[in-house]
Parts: sequence; structure tokens; C-alpha cells
Amino acid sequence: MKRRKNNFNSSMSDIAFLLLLFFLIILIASPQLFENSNLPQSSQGEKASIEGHSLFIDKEGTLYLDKAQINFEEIPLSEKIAVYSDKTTPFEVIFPLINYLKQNSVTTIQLLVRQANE
Amino acid sequence: MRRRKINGTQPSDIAFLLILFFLVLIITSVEYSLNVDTNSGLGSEEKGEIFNLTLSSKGLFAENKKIDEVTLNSLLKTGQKTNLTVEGSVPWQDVVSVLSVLNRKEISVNLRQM
Repeated sequence: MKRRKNNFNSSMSDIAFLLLLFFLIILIASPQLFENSNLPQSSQGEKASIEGHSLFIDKEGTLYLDKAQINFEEIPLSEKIAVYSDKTTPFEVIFPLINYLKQNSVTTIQLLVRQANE
Repeated sequence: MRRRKINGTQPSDIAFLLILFFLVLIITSVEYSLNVDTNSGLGSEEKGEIFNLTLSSKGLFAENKKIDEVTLNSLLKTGQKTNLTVEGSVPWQDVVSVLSVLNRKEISVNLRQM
């Protein structure tokens, strides 16, 4: 009887621990989730299925790919690229990136936003 | 005996609450995107009948006349080509708000900086 109880308790705590690990890994693997609260709001937009890379540009114009700082020349170019930035970032900081992507055969730029309730 | 049973259910409660917590977290943090087609004229010069919009720190202007987002919605025709000139200091949120309206009307945008 005692053995049964021990087995049950340990297996459930293992499940809880594995769940916690699983979701933490998901969160870490999708860095844009961390900055989600600062994304600009939009009444329009569709659920983003990010196929290519997602680039983050901060207010100073520093570019990040998966939390690693990169230069424009290091951007892994693909047809679709997601771009996200803080809602307070000035346009003059983001525009050079948009222009660079356009000039380098990126056909679709996914501007990540937070959906606003109308 | 009954008390023991209650103690035995606690880990499963924790597991259940964990699932709920993270599911809620993930659902509320799903990303949405505004897709901008670069072939539609983004960053390039458009010629012909186009609608000129200017977004500055003073507000949104259509053909040099100040408007709000509701007016903009009524002014735009579906599929119309539009030049959106934005002042450098304008916050990204304001640009996205205007792009949202244009996106709703399936308008191709030529995005430029002032």
C-alpha cells in the first residue's frame, strides 16, 4: 500500500516537472513571446505563422535574430521575414530595415502586432 | 483513509493547473501579423493615380488635409494604390494603425520616410 502511494506521487510530480520544462522550452524557443506586450496593436491582421526568420529591432536600431545581435548583412534572407519592434520605436529606426529587405528580394514582410479589440 | 486520498490528488491538481496556466499564457500571446507585400510597391516609386497620405507628429494628412482614421477608411477605395510618407519621429504604433486601415481595404502601399 505504501509502495503504491509513493509511485503515484512521484509520477505525478514528474509529469508536472516535465510539463513545466516543456512550456519553458517553448517560451525560450519563441523569443517574440517575451516582447509581446510591447508590440503595436492592430485591429487588422492575421495569425502569424512564422515560416522564415523573425527579426527584432530595438529603439536604437540594433538588430537581433534569436536574441543575438546581428548586422543587416548577416540577415538570413528568405521570401518571408517577420519583423517586430516596440510600439514606441521611431519609424526612422525601422524604415532602413524594411528598405533593406525590399531591396534584397524579400517578397513578404510580416509586421508582428498584437490584436486589438475593436 | 479518506484524508490520504485527498493528499494523493494534489500532484494531479498541480499538473492540471500548470497545463491551464501555460495554455492561457500561450493563447493570449499568439502573434498576429500585418503582411506587407514588397512587390506591391513598398519602398519604390509609384506613378499614375495614387492617393497620397502623410503621417507626421501633427497627425494624418490626406492630400494635405488633416483627417482621422475613420475618415481615412471612408476615403479609401479597395485596391487603390497609396503613397504613405511618414515622418521619422512617428512611433511605430501610429504607422501600424494606418497600415491596418490600408490592409483592411487591400491597398498596396508605397511606404516612404519624410
